Amino acid sequence: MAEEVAYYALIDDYSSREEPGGVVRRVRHDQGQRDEAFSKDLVWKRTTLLYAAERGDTMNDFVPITEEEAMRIVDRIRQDAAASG
Amino acid sequence: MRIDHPAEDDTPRASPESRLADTPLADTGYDQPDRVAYFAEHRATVEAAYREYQAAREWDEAVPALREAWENHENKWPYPERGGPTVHPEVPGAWRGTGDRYLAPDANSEVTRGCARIREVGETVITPAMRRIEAEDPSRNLVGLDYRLKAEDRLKEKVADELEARPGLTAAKALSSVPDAVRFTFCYEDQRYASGVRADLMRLRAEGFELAKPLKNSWSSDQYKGINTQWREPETGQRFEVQFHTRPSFEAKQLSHDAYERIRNPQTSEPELDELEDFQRQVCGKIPVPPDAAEIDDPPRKEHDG
Repeated sequence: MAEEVAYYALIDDYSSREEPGGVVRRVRHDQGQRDEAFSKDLVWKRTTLLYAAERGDTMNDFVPITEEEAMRIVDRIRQDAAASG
Repeated sequence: MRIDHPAEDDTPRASPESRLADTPLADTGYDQPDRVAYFAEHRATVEAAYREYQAAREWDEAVPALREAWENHENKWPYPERGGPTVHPEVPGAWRGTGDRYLAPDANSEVTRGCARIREVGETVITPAMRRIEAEDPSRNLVGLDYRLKAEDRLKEKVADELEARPGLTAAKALSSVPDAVRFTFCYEDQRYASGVRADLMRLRAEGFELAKPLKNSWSSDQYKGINTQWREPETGQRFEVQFHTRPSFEAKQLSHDAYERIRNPQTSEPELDELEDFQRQVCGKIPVPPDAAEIDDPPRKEHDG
């Protein structure tokens, strides 16, 4: 099975559907799946936030988005990081 | 205790209406329509009690096999015990926890200060109010009250996870949006679940608390069963969580607690993760869903609710 990737916008108290606070992707493959967030270090890192949300945690909402939308959020995070030095 | 189900054996029986027709009306003091309604109500009550008994029995019977499944998982995937002292970080003032989670010194001290404030508001304001709400209805109660305050290391784990995935957020903001730093769980009988939850949502409102987010109804989920709500204490802005469970869904949560902790650990391997999800699915599949539970929605909103 080829890898399948689904993207989700992370929305918390300080962000919105229009300007999500982060982006998470779920990568499915032969051996299972992994969730990764585009991290503060500007690389994709393992995250468990989506799992938590699927098990009742109410801290963040996750909205399915397209890869294109996901890349826009990634670009924005990179720009914000560059602007803040 | 055994509850007889009206239609449990094969004995042919007449409908309540036809049996009524054989009984002299003068014997009961009821008019015919009242008697029909009375018997219909009685039958519904008995059937509801039977369903609850049956559902609880099925859950109780499933528990030993689920425990065994978890023991097998633990044997297959040995895991270091958690709960010991926090690993001392290489940076003074920093914090390092389970799953190699990390808080820098400034973030760590911010969270430590915040935890003290949360404990104070939790104990002096929120807990007494929840006790008042609990006292309003003896048919259900708060369970797990000893764990109403999340341990400081668990809070730091949540903040660390959030900061990792949420560029630009400060530790103080991440901590303030943790919904379950203070948490409560109401536990109901199956048949009273829907009406009980709705009544308690209104009681929380009446106590002055504001719903911080729409309630999360997970009764249709295959990974978790129950309703979780996030509230705000208006004077301090402190968040707290109230969960609504039945006995089986609460016991299921306890039974799968360690599995959930492993799922939340970023160092758990992907193959194990798959099996953990299967285990959660097995557990959830055995939990009886109370009548109308999946239909429960937010209580009517107040203007200032967030």
